[in-house]
Amino acid sequence: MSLLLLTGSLLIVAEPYRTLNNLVFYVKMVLVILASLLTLRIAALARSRAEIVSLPRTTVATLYMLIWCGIIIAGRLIAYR
Amino acid sequence: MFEFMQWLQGTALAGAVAEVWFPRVECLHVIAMAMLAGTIFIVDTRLLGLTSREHSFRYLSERLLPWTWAAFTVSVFTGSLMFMSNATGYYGNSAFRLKMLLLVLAGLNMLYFQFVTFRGVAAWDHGHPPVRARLAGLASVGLWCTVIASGRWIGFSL
Repeated sequence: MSLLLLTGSLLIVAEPYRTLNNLVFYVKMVLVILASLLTLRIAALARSRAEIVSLPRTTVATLYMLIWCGIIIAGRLIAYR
Repeated sequence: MFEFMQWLQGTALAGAVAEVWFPRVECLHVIAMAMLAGTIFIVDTRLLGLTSREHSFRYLSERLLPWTWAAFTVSVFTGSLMFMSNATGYYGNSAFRLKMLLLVLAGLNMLYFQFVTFRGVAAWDHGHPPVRARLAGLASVGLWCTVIASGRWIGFSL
């Protein structure tokens, strides 16, 4: 994740106009924030251990995979806008 | 060979990919690539003795490799569609040729591991893998990273 943030920032710095004027870029960033919040929440639940049993695991996992696929799709489509 | 590439590029399917489907096919290719490399690196780092040491090697590889092969199938399918869309261009592209060579090397590394090194897995299934197994893991990480890098380079050099 650190490597992704570092190299991604470099790509923005290299061509700020191309990325920052791109709607798809902001869609991707919202999805990245969503995925990060979900990870932090699940990590907190896992640490507390109390509620982990009641978590709808399949739903959370599916949602998580869909968000990451969305991040990849948005990332790739930045080049086409 | 070049005539074949011209014919391939002239098919209706190739035309449809070139004009409409390319970005969508490319997105699928990248998602499949993430799953392919992700599952391979989990197995490779276990081979290197860096991660998942609480699981036996066989436990981990038996559960992950079906997903690796599924992702590989999708990668080959989507990659072939993209290749068709500009067959003559990819055929002559050095980055594309390098990628194919590296894919063959990754395949040979896998075959050697599977049929030679893996035979003695019982001795190290639960412990630290021997040098031969660690070398296979290291070669695999290196080769797949260069496969991805040269694949990305096709887009910059075409």
